[in-house]
Amino acid sequence: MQNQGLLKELIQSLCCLPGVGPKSAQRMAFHLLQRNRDGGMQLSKMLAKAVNEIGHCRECRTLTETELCEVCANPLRDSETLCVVESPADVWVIDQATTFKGKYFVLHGRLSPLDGIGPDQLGFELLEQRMAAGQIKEIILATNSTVEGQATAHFIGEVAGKFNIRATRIAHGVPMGGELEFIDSGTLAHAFNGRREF
Amino acid sequence: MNGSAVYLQPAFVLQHRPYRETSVLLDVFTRDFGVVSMIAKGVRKEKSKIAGLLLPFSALRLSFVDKTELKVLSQVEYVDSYPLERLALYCGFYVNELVQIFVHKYDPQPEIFSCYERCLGDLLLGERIEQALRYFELDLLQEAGYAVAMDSEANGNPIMTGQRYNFLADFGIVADNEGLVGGETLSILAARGALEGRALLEAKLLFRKMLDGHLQGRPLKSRDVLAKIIKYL
Repeated sequence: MQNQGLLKELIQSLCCLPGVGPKSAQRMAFHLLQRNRDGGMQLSKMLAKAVNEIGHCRECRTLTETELCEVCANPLRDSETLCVVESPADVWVIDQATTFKGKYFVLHGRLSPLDGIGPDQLGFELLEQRMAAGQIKEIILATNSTVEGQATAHFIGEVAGKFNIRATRIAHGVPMGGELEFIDSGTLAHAFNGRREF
Repeated sequence: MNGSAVYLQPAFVLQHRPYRETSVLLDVFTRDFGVVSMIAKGVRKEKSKIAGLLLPFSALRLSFVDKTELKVLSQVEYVDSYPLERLALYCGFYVNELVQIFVHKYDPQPEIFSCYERCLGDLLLGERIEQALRYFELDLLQEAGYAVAMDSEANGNPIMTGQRYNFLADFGIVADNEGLVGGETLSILAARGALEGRALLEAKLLFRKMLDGHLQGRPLKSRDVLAKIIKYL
């Protein structure tokens, strides 16, 4: 097989995508060159455009090509509740699945002291400025249910307390349609400790 | 232990990071094999049953196999969890990093393991967090083979109240009028008494100097992050 040339370079470049190894990259490259050159051209244009133009929203740090993202620019959305999430993908899923009409803040990560990721890497200065501005009444902590996500939530919750902002944490526990028998002990213990008045 | 399987070993996850599409790489502190690196396959799949278990600050029993240095996790049992909160939680990461550095791979340290459990228990109580950290640092240095006597000077003279002392690497505690720690603090540490106010601060400076000596310039990432977190609170 050829070990150099454009085709090889294309295959190697496609391997940067998640879940794509050399075999699938090879299939993709041959498909684009043999059957769908227009699609390939369109893909390359869009990729170049997106990578050049998409940056971070000035207020919530989500991915957007404008200075203010769609959510932050929408005057109908409630500026008094702020939902803090780890990644831009979380904004999408929450927006699709819930009736939440407030605004978001994207950390692009979580506190992870062992990896040296602290408040500075998470845009915490900007979040603190927004809390200090006095408009926010409630912060919803929608970080992941890992120890690092929990640490991030505790930290933001503590700082929110300093500004007299109500902090709430999304519930964790038994999934919808889940049967107790099949749930892992850690999740079940957590669900039990977090039981509510019914 | 190369080539053998280990069954239901008491363990704590120290650090976990995603690997490939659905796996996780774990640094685990086991009772009888020291720190062990292992891969947990398929944990990040949607229907994984053990993702909720393989987290730091949970007492677990793990089985693992393989011939290479990177073990493969084969079984997890949940024993207990330490749901740390706020400052205790941030400090828990620091404790994990200390274990990662001072306990070597496949070096059994059952005493440090029980000190670690005790430290997590103290952190969970949420009171006297700093004291729990200081005594864990003391235990860790002792058990890892860097013990320094707290009840006498390096030359054998007893510790006197009212006298200042300093710590010199490769030597020990020596009398020094400009020293960073007082005789009272050393006496409290030797007797494992309650650390308060000045004693707490002096013990922190003393252990920091001792730890830094053994770290040989290697930074403690969690300590820097912790300092930044505290600045915001």
